Amino acid sequence: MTAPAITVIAMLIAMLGSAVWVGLALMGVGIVGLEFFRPNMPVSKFLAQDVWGSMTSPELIALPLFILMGELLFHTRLSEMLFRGLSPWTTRLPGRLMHVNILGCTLFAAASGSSAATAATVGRITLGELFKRGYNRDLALGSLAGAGTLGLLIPPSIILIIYGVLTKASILQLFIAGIVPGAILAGSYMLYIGIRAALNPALTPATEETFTWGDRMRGILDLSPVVFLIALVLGSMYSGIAGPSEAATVGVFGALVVAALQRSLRFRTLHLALMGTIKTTSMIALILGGALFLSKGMAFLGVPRQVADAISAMELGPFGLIAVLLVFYAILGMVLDGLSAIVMTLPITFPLVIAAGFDPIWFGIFLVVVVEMSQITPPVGFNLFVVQGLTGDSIGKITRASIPFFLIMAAFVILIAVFPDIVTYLPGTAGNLD
Amino acid sequence: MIDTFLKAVDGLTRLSAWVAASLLAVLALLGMAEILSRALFNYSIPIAFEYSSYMLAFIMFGGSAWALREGGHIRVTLIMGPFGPRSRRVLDIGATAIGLAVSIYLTYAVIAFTVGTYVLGTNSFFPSETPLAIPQTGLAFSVTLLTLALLARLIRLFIGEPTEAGNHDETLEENVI
Repeated sequence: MTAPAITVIAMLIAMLGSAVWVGLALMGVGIVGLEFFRPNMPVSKFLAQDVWGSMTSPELIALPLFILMGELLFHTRLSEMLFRGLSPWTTRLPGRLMHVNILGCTLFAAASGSSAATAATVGRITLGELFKRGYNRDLALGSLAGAGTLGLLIPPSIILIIYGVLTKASILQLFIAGIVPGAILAGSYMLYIGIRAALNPALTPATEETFTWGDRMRGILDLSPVVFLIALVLGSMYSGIAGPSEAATVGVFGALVVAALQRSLRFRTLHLALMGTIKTTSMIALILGGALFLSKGMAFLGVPRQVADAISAMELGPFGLIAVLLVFYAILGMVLDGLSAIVMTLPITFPLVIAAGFDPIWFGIFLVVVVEMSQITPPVGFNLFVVQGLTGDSIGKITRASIPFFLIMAAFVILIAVFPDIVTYLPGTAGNLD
Repeated sequence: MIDTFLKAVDGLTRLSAWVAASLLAVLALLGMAEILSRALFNYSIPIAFEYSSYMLAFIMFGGSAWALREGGHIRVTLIMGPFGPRSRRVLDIGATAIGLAVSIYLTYAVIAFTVGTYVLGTNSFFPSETPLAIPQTGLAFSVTLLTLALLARLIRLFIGEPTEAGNHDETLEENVI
């Protein structure tokens, strides 16, 4: 590696390490790097043009709208509904109500683009109910922290929108590509819970919950508006009728209808949802603005090529490269949140992976699963914080409870590396995507 | 004097965030109107696409200063863990000062860019021929406000006032993704 690459990477570590806000740190590294190594370049003009261009790019319109959709649903009585609607259907499965964590997270993930929001919304009701009935505490905590991460993978997904903007990959195809892996992961979690519960009856309470078919039918009725909304949003994108921003617009109005049907639509909740969306959007916009600028700055300085040369000298081969990246992101994910980890490394890792012959859509899904793993690894694992906020258990205890789910995700990453079709098959069949 | 400045910045950041939130509502309404109009009348609202992207710029940055005050922006605070409150404050002052420096540079860049657009009289390439300096002024305002909010934060750290305001009870538990 040569001077610019080493300087930029060292500055990044120093800036982030000294607790400067991630977006401003990325921007600052880009500014200093360009001013220092490209003294003749009009850096400030380039920065302003870049920020203006990024923040008015049409692909990003879907971002605040999908966040708003999730916020609106968060302020409905969705948590209660998910529990009431799903629990009557789990009594025949070993592990019974424990599966509501997984199923609830899977459903909410399909209406929300965020992992922490998913864990928070579902866990608000399920954890209390599970503890009260005497379900095993560790399995309940771990399954919530683990399944909450599905919010990132199952579309709509904020992180996939950002990956698409950064790499110019089709956001629509990324969304479609997340469906099958999300379903397989959810299925694997349920399988794990089922096996544990079957082997050790002490994990579930002895007295079984009884539900009538009336309860089950009412459950379906409870869930139907949300399921309909999800089907509408995903279906319109899969069939090619709508792009992400149209689907997000429809999703916002669908969420308003769901709230109105539940009679939880008030001016106050609207206001809270809008302001909450602005807060999250601002956070993402600053990071994204900094990252997009830095990635172009690094390209000017030739940093990706310099790192690529250093890596290719190691002669890793495609699978070696993926294995190295897996370890690299797992370590990075311990100290950084997933979004920051992706945006700051992507300008370097993306060209490497594409040069090694991997599909851009596939790599997007790979990264998201790796970031999901980072959500449950300490010291910085946001789902651990969310679960702690809900129950007050120690981070250590929640982490230990999440380890099996971490391992399932790691195994899944290896699975999609060996069989990339798991990811790329469905986007290939969808109509009219680009 | 300082107190007036801090209050004024707080007030402006809240107002700006509120405008951003209102524009978000307008963005959703305009999007829905466009979808219905195209589906029912096969007619595309002429300004829908163009103005959506201008609104987006303010939605993305107009609330940034407010988000800072609410503790909504992400930073890696791992380094502060092992220190006591006094050392933490020193570290926080350093981080805020660096952030402020970057933000000042960004603000200068965007204002110069907007003035340049105004002087050249550049219009959008859409039929509306909107003078681009108008929406760009929104971005210039947003980043100026972010700089002021960082300055206010630095002042608060020096005079020992709490830096993050806001209630976290009723919004999403963690606004992280």
